[in-house]
Amino acid sequence: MSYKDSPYFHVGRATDLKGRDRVIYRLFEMVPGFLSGGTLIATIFLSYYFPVAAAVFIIAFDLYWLLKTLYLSFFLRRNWKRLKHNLALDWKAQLSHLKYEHIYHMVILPFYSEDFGTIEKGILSIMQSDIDLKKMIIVLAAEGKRGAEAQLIAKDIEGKYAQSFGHFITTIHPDGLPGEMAGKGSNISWAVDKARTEILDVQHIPYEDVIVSAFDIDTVVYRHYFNCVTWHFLTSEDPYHASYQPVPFYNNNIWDAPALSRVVAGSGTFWQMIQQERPELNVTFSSHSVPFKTLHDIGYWQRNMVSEDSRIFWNAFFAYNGNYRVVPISYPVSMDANLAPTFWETLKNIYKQQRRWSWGSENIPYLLFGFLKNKEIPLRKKIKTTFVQLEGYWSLATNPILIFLLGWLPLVLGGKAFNTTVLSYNLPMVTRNLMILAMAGLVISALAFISFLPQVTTHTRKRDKALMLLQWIFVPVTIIIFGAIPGLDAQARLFFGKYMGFWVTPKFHK
Amino acid sequence: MALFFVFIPVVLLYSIGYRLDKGFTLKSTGGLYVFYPESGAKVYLNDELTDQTSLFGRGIFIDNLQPISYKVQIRKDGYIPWDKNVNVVEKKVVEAYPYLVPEVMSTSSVPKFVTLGSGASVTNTLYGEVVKLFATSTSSTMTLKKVLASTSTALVAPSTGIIRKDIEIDIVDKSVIASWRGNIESTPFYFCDAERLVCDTELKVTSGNLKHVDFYPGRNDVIIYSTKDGIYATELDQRPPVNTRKLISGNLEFREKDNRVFIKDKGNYFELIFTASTTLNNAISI
Repeated sequence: MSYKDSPYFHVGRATDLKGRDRVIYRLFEMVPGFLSGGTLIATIFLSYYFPVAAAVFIIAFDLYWLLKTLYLSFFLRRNWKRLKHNLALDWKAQLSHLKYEHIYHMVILPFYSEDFGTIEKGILSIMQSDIDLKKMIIVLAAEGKRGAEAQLIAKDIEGKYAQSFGHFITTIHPDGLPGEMAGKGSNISWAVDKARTEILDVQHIPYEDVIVSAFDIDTVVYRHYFNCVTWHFLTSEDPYHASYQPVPFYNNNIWDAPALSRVVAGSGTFWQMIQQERPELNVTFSSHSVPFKTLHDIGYWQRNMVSEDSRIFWNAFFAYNGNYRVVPISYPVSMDANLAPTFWETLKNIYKQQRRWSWGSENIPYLLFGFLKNKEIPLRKKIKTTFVQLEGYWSLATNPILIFLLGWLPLVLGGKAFNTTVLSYNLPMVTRNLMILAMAGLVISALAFISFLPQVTTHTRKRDKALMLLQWIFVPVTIIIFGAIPGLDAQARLFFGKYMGFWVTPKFHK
Repeated sequence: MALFFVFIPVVLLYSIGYRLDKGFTLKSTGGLYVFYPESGAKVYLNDELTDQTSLFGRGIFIDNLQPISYKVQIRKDGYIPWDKNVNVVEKKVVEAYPYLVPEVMSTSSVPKFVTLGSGASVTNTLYGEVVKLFATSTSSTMTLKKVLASTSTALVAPSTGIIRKDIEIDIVDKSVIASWRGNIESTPFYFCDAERLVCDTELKVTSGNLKHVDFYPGRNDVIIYSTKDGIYATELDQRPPVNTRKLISGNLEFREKDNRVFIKDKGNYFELIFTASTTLNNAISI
């Protein structure tokens, strides 16, 4: 029996299992929180009882952080160049060397309470793509739970734009189906299967010829997105064992969003840009594209958990015994930065969105459990993947706190004996100097951010432009409040079995 | 990863205090920390200007010092230089907390009456408070001090002396004894030997025909005491030389309250001014 046919393949949480499996999975759920919380507690403990050891650890950690920052800045710069190049490239001309006319693009647009304008913006961007719209299959996926209002919006959109595309279908995902959690995963899985039975099967479109793009509803595509995906799909060595990952720009409303929101959004973009240069460490995130054949083969997105965007990668990874990868297309899609009617609400929404993303640590138990059960994956791959994923979630939740808050702890807790050592005097200075060097990476970030900003709106002032540069001084604050803390929050919930539900980021436009 | 393992020994050894000498041999060094709470004080090490306190840097850390004895001097225009011989110890930081007394001490009288802008003469409230300070004997002054201390920053303990930030001072058998009342872990360096291996809880600061003792304004490691000859300041740090300064001559009484020092001279009251900037002899009031 292949892994995808096993009862473990679509497990969402420990409570989905029984007996020994349930205990093991539950223990694996505790791993991210244990590592992150354990690191912070151990640092406090060391600072009090063994301040010299704590200081040595902190200095070593500072150096690690500096080298890591420099290393990642190198990737950021390289991807910045690649993005610039890919944005300027005529992908239609690139495709002209290939046989591509048989390829269909199915775009899934799930929405919950978003308004007509938000949905229309995305649809219009698809219409402006340099592609044969007759090869487009638009799937507008409404939630039945949202009631008549959502269905009315869907009907209006369909009425206005359905004729522009080769195929258009509106789906209403029924509320409360057994084994499902309310969220994007269950909705888009329902929608894509509806599109299969009502369009692909009816029109006899081969599954192999369809690329599915699962978009967040605020996603606005650039003119050549679909051509770029097609080109990567057609030129990939093993196209059905890959997902195609764009870079999310949060540019739709960037001039309206407050500085803190822009910094958090920009940081997210940079992280994805860095990951594009390290595809062996990457998993799918947010809006992405997958071959329909693959999706159908593995049963679509998981319906019983929150982080369906990254889980689909792990599903495929285990289904194909580790033979699955992310193909970075180094081409952007644009989405909304967090923006609410008030500044405080915006901050709350940023926190909640970051916590939801950090809840991606729910993939850790799935991963560890899968490695235990799937004997076909090479051990080396299991070890490397485990290390990379654990390090990622551990870094997110602990590194900013270790650097900006706990770096001084041995001085506070270490007692007089420690405070008279040369080490105690050098600790803050070495930390400060290494951090100043590390922050030089921010200059690269600020310049990269500016270079991808959308056209200036009429009400944009000079002050706003200057703030786009100066805003990066908030990074030490944002990576703690909107990085480490929501990360710890999510991991603590997973540790204690307080499972999170899906939270829809509210969309607001000025 | 390789870079990390190349750099980490270098960074750690540097942080702990190791340096390469001229012969490229790894040597363990120590450091010196000097704190003076005002800007513009110059720090000399073996008569060489090393650093200067500033608005944002009142604490100065000098590292990379061979573990030998150094003469530290702090100079500031208008103040008597402060000297100390310190023994720098490997991997440790020795501390120095200088206090600077103006070359010319000035006083400001505390008159009984003050004249308002309207020309009317009214009673000076400060005068009343100062009179009360002096209206006790030395021993009862101590009690009064404790009462006053409870309303200011100092602490009161079940003892006969005056306590400020866990240090108690008292006159015992014609000597000023300083006692450490805090936890052993936090014992200040001047109660300990050079390497801080052995610490005591009591320290004999000075002796003589002492009339009264109190803390120096804003400090718990410097005291003021009076004799028949005058009023003096000295420090608890007994590393040589011990810096003792005569603040004012004469058989005077003094009291300290809220970091201000008042003097009684034949029924007249004055306040000692510890800044060197201007010569004051004006009447003051609060």
